[in-house]
Amino acid sequence: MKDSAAGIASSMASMRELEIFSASDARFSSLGAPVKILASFVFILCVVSFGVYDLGVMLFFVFPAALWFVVKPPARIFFNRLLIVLPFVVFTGISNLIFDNSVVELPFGFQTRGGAVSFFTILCKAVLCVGAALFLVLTTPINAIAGGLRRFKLPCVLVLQTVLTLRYLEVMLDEARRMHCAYSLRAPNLSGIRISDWHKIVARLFLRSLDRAENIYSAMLCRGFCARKTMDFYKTKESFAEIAALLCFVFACVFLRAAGWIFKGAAW
Amino acid sequence: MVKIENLSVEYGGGNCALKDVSLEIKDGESVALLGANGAGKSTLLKTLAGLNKISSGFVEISGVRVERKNLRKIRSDIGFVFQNSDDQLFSLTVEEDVVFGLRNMGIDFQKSKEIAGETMERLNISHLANRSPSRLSEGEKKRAAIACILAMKPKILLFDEPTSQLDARSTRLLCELLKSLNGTKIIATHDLNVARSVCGKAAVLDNSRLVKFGDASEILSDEKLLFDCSLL
Repeated sequence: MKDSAAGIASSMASMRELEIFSASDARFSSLGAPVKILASFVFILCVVSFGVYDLGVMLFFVFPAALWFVVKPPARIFFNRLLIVLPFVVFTGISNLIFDNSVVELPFGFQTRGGAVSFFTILCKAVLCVGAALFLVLTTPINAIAGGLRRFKLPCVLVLQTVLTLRYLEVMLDEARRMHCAYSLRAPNLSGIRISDWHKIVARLFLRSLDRAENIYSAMLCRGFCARKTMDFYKTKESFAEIAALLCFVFACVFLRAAGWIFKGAAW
Repeated sequence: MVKIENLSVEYGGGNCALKDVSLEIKDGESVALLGANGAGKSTLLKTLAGLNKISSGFVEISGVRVERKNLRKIRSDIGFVFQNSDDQLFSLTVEEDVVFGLRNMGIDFQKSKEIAGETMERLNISHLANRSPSRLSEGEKKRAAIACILAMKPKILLFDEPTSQLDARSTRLLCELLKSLNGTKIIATHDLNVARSVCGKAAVLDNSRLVKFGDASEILSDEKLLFDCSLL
């Protein structure tokens, strides 16, 4: 019981930690969010464009490696988030490992089973894509991301929904923690929540979160909150240096993608 | 001026939260809304801020009716400090929360930060600027919530149970702060000491109805009235 309460508290803490880090990283948080969003998008696009047997995708690890040294993200948060995704990726790729018996030639004359290569490339692609998204979140506060998305003319409702969902997630976790605490104090001999109590707790949690979310929204309204206006505060205009940096990054991505083709051509 | 005329508010299912309430509050007055739990104090404050639907009657703030089309104007004149500070503080840091309202008023970021800094200094919470609201004590949270509102310089301040969850010392400090604030103040409370020390006028609500409105000292010395309204 205590473990789950601690789990909820630690989830809340790591969410806060992530936000605090993204706001405190001066070197990258000062960079315009639209530039970072576009750079991440180009990066992901290049990564997913590699074929299943294409080991050239590994070249793209250059970017996260370089970013790691510059941003120095909290490793625990980064890898914890990555670990959440990895089981799904492994589950997706494992069938390749079992059923794909084709033979694939590797550079320098080595040969191996196609399933192993495709499993490995799926893993690499997943780590790179999730890593790119994580780096974006770690270096850009959520409001700035929202402003960036608005810059790309995404509908206000959609952007606001994303931001508020994140805020309300915290409210819900907080309510869950309180309810769990109250339950465990009155059921000291139980090792968890009884199955017969789950439906009551979930329904109550929903109602309580809804109630609190409504209060928070009322407080926002009282302070002049207007969805479109507030979202547009975070819109930024890109400087020439930012556009130049973005172009350099895109060029580097395209170059590495092309290098991947050359690498593949030379190997096969 | 705040003018409330025959105000009735109903919640879903025909529950009447306010019945036929009429009162007038002049500019600069401090009014305590007294009443037991469920008397309708919070509902009245929320209705003044345009957060509740009016069933009948009307409310005017500085001559402007509280209705959908006027809400922006009304809310720029009104500052509402909620009972639960956690509902009011939703940003990453206290400073961000104070800046939130100012940005919504159209003030640019640098100027907003400046005003936020000044307000926090006035409330002696400058040292909390970069702290997460979730890590503050109740007294600090309350001060931060008040800073969020004061920074916007509203003409009318609404406080919903400002001293609930506070210890004796924090209550005393908060009362001193409330006394020092200029402008019209409407304070919903069932703490008679707060009403006595901060407000010149008082309105007693009981069972969703306004029972009495007048001088705070006169009302607070009427023990029978207070007892009948479950305040003693």
